[in-house]
Amino acid sequence: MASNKFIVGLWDHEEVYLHAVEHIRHEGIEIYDSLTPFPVHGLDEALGLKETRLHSAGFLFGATGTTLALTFMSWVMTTNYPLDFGGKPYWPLPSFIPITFEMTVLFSAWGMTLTYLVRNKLWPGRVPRIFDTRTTDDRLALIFDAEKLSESQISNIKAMCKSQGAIDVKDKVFTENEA
Amino acid sequence: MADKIYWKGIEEKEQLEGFRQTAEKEFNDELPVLSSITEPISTGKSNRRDFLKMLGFSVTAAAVAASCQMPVRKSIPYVWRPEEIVPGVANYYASTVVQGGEYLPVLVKTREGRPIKIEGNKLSIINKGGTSARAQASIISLYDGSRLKGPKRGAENITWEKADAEIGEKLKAAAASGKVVLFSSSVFSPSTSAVIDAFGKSLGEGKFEHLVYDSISYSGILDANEKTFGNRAIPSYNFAKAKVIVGVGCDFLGTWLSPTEFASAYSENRKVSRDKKEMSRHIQIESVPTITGFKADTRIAVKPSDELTAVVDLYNVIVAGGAAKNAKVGKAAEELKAAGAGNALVVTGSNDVNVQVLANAINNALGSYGSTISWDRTYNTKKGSDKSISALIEGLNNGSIKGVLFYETNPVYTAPVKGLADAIKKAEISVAFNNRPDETANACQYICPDNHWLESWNDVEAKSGILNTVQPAITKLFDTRQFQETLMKWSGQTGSYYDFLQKNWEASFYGKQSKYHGFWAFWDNAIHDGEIVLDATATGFSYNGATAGEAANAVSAIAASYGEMQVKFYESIAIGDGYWADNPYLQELPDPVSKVTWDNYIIVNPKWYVKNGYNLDPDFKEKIYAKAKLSVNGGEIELPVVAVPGTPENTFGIALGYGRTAVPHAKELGRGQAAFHLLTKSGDTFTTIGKASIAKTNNTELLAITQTHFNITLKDLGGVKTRKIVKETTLKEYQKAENAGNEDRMEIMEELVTLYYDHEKPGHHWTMVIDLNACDGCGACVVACNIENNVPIVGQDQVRRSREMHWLRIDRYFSGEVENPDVVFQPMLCQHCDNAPCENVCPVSATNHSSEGINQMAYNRCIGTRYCANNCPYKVRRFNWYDYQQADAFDTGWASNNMPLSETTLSMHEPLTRMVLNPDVTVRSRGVMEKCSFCVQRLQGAKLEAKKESRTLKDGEATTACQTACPTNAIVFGDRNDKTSEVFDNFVDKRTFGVIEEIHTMPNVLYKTQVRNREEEKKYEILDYYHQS
Amino acid sequence: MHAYESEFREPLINGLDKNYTKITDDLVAPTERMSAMWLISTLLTGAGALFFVFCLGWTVWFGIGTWGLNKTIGWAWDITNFVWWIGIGHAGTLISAILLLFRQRYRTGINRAAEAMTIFAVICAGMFPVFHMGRVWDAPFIFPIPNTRGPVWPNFNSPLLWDVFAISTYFSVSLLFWYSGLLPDFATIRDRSKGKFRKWIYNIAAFGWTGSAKQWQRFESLSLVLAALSTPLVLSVHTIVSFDFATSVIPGWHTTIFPPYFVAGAIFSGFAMVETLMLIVRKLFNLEDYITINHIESMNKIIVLTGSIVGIAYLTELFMAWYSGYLYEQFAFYNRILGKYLWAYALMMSCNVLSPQLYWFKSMRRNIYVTFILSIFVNIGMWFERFVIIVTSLADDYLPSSWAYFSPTWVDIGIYTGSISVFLFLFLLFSRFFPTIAIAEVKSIFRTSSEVAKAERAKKEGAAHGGFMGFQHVGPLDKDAKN
Repeated sequence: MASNKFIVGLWDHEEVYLHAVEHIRHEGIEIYDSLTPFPVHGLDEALGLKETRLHSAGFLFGATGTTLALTFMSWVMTTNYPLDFGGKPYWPLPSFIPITFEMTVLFSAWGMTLTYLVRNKLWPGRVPRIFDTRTTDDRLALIFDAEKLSESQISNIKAMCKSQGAIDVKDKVFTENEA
Repeated sequence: MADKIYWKGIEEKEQLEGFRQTAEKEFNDELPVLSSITEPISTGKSNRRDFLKMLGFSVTAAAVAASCQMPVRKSIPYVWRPEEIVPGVANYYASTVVQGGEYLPVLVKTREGRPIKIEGNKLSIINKGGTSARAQASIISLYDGSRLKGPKRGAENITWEKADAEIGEKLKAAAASGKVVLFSSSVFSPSTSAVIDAFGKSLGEGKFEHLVYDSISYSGILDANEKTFGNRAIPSYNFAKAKVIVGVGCDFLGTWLSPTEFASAYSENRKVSRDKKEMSRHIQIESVPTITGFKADTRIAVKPSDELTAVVDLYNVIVAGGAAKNAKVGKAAEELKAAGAGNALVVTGSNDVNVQVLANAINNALGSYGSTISWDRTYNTKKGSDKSISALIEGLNNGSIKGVLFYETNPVYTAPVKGLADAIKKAEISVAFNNRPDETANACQYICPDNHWLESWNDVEAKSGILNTVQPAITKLFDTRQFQETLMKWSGQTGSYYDFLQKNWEASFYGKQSKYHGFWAFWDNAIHDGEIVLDATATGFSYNGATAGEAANAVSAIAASYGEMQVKFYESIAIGDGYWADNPYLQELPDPVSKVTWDNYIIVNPKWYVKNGYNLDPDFKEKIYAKAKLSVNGGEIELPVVAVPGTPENTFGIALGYGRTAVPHAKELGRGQAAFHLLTKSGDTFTTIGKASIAKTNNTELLAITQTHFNITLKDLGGVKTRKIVKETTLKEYQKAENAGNEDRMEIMEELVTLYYDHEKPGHHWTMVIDLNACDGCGACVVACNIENNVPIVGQDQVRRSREMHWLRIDRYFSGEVENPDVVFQPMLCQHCDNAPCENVCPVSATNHSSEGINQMAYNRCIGTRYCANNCPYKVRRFNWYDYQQADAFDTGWASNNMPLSETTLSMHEPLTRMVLNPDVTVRSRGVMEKCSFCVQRLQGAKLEAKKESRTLKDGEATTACQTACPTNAIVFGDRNDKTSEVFDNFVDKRTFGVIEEIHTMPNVLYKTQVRNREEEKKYEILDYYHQS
Repeated sequence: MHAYESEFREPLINGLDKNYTKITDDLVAPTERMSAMWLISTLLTGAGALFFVFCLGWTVWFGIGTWGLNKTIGWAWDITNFVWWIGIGHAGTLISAILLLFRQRYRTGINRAAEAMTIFAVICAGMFPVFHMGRVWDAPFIFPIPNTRGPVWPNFNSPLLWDVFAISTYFSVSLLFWYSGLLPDFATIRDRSKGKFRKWIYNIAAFGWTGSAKQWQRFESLSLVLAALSTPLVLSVHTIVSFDFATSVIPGWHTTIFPPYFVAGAIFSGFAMVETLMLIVRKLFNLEDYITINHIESMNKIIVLTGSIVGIAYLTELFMAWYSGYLYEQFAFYNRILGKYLWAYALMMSCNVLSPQLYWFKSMRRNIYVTFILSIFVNIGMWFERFVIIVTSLADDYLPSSWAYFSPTWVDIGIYTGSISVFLFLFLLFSRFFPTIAIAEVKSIFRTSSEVAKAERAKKEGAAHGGFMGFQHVGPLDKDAKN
């Protein structure tokens, strides 16, 4: 990872926090990341994040499931091993509906979740950088990359956070051997 | 690393070698550890590492050995193949079932020298290819592991030499001091009789006597015929010819005299068709219901004693010109008279001489003799006298009889008189020839086991002038010796019985026929066809009915003496006089009337049953039956009580032949109670009727009843509606309209519309049509199916849990009032629906439809979800709840022998019993669904034959086991696509219908309406009497 | 910017001392200490689970013959239990999915446990179709695996095969839904945990979650789409289960109203089971502030609704049977009510249709004891519903010659009771090592639906409009800002 030097600002009330985010971005200060213990509504707009395309991925996976199920069953029942079951036609479309549906859901759900994990860099045993342990408890944090910043900028940011109701602002430096 | 081997002494080396060999046989010999095994510890060579290797290896080996391994099945090829045997191809030999009083000309199907199936002999003019349940089941008694394996003195096994020497001695001694008696059931083999005579002569004049005794006695009719015709024999009855038949307490379709023959003849004149809209009229007067009564057009239910008075009534009306006490009987008599000379037939099963005298008088008056009854051919199958049993006991007790031999009889069990067992002990020498342990054999000093009929040469003359041959289909399985040979040895005759047989035929029969020229032609044809018909010798016996008058009074007097409560003892269709009790196939065959298996019981009137509080379990949840103690002539018997519609009130029926004590697995095969000791003498003969009193006890019994009486109409909702499972009509209606009783079929067929296209059946389209009019429910088809298709026998407990495996069952439906219902028997098997509900629901495609219309099972594919069985509207699918026939792919070892199954079922795990299995049919493993396959192996066989001759299959070549077994040809099977076939003709017949067709299953098994020849038409409505109380 | 919530709605988080810290402390607490109560019950149910395994072993070793089934009744307790468990397994996903789509805030208190329950119920349910097979060792035949036998494929016409797909899909999707929701909470525990081992374990479980804005964004998108997928899935699963019967020809099975009727029944029994468990959990881990009477009442409303739907379905069946004029159909239901299984039908009716009607009274809805007893009643009733449908229909169908009666053996009983132990055992483990309540989600509604929040707003409004609110909360202002 490129930088190891960060400024961490901690808030404890999401409304105050949201104001702060908007103000800070308005001031043109680049926010490295924001950590919250629960989803804060409107945060992604405030941070100006792009809309995720995860659901489109979900749709594509689902479509794959549908076609796969339908084509496979049709191939089996009509081409590969046609059998007479109870006088039903060799291609009993209505009978295919339940399985086709289930396969659609199965593919869509798994595909999406896997994409989600990959995109979020989540996997069993991954050790993330912990800027502050309370960010999963009761603190909402803003992280600023301090690597290339001058002392004045740093103090400026700290002051800004304070003024925006941060209850604590601190430096966080990761040594290289830390993940 | 095979090191040098050191040993201290030679023994040790031997031992080590031995160990090495066994070890190497057991495990793969590449294993390096083996050398270290063989190192003597003393040398200290085997080090820690080897030890660990050993440990590790033995643990794994143990694990592997212990875990599921495929059971080893050895198959040994022919070293010298007998020329007539082609492996995989069946050979058929004409022979004759002669066992336990059963007699039937048959073909024996053998595979690789093993008899595996009995087929009827179509060449026989007696049964015309029909068979009986007993004949079908007799095959399993060949492989009965409990058969005697050789001669015995008491409990100890001895050699034949020893037996011959000792018995020979003792016989001489006995003959010197007194008389030697051969006590047997009726012997109707001419050559055997000749052997017996020779044996008798060898003992010296007056030193030998042959006493004949039939446990199911025909003494009455024999004596009566002697009285009125001067001939102690039974004439032949022609049920095909009779237009009006009156049976009085005579189950001639089930058990009386020659049921298979009578059934086939009877049905000839009972079938109606487009071309023949006439049928005979059958009136049955009886007390305890029988299949004969249930098939009758009119059944007059009377008390047992009134079976006697009914004959008197008939006599009074027809002969004496008086009036009848019982109006219904009077009406029957009128009908007999109206039938015209020679068109009527009256038969009675009573064993009372006077009753039979009256019957003769009646038949004589009706002019039946010479027309429906003929003296040209008389029965030799029943010649016994009830006197002989008492004669034997007296003789033994007063010491006049010093030696006694028992052949084909078990009097210690069947004799109504007590004390025979002790009397036998008094004899100097007593020998039994029975080849299976029974009460009499146990009482004798020696047992010289006879061969099974499938191992024997013999001849049979069941009806005078009709000769049948018995030829061995397999070499002796045990160290037994044929009875005839034994006697020949003892009477000092040389040569085999086979030679004797030939000589005897040349001397006595060759001359009496004109068909064949040259003895060998005659002989070979006899052996090949299994039947030779000698020219009938017209023997006019003239009737002198002088004594009929007194007879009538005598009968009325006896009838009056039986009082209010009466018991009637009857012969069970399955196990007869008890001889067949050790045959599990017959034990598990549901009684056609009561549908109970594995037990006997007291049959009572349903209303009486409810009134006296016997219906402990009215919904048949656990099939709990209250027991009652019935006392008759001083004797007592305690049995569960079963209600059967059609039984008159205060009438009780009990089957003979159960409660055998000396049978193997007596716990199962000896179930029920023996009843022979309750029979009494009336006159010179034993009567099956008794003055009874009954008392309910607190004991109960779990009966394995396969069908119970439920109400299947629905009075409460939308009026009375009836399930259209069986359809019936009367002859009159049928003559008016061919689709009488089947009118609704047209509209049902019209309503069956579908979105789907039909799957075409380009080749054959197998179809079965069953004529309900012809089916008498005898059960021959059921046993035939069991044997042909390796259907397991599951035992009493499993049947009680509704787990019987029969692929083909016979449903029995009552209609009308409880007192005297109509009955329809309906063989129910897989209907091979073209729209089979079972096929759709199988998740693994284990069952699907063939292009020939067969609903087929792939046993290997089945995972046993039982969904198919649930979704079968006919409930004809059967599930293997346990490993009934040891067919699991893996050997569950301890489990497979410790399943909660009966010993008789587990006997199918023994190699000997398994020899009966049909190699053409998969033996199903545990957890697999099975069902009727239309005997697909037989169909394929027939198709193969045709293919070899490069021609199309002819109608009638492909047959099912049930079809060939049926004595009445009720089952027609064939290819519906062949428009000339018999089955197509039946398929398009207006009487034909399918069961619950309205759900559009399109069954390939169809039925033809039951037609009854009588005036009044009963509204068809199935019984509901358990709710009437 | 917060979705404004009416003051007349009761809070979903009680207690004026609540703040984010407190919430975390309360909700993580169960995973940090062990009660004797928990230990005992876990050991007991564990023993029961072992007996379950024993009974299954017995069945496989000797054969299905060890059950009470017969030639006429090929399914009885096995499939009854299967449908029963699947039904129970419906509440979880329903609560998380459908209530999420409907933005029902009260779901946050119960969804985690409900989803867990779903997973465990489906595990129990899945056992039965597998072990009811006569040849369980050939079970793989039901999957479309290429094989050397032709290849022979499964029969795609068979509802039983549809079940295979439906159940496995349902199980795995529920699992995803459940676990993706667990990640943030595992992260919470991870960051709190002191012990090295504990930290290590929960770090693995948390997949390295940090709670960055992007993660949350994708998280919400994922849970929304999964919810959208699960909703029809939930409905489809029991619909397909009902096809097992509806597509057959057996009177009493062949009924077109089965799908909606089964789904309603499933929700019915599912909610009942959730209540049974939640009432125990909130007592055991004193979470009364988070699983409030309000929650219970809302669930009881759904129970009385679905219970009545089921009741109507029963009556509709009867009417249709009579109206059809078809003998077999009529007899099937006549026999169901007045036949040899009368007792079962009576139990079903009284437990499923009559008892929930109590919930028309608010006092009953809000009474914990009544709720607990009724929730158990409902599940007994629903078990008997399946028993009645399966067994009475099979016992007396078309041909009276093969009518029969079913009575269970000790193996049947052992497997059923055993499966209940398995279920409880798994749930106890879950409640000890997993956050039983979705921490992050509870926090996310804290500002809107907690007693504290309402008190604040009440105060503000009171100040502004001279206290037009009917009541004034004397509570600390903005408590958590002070500390």
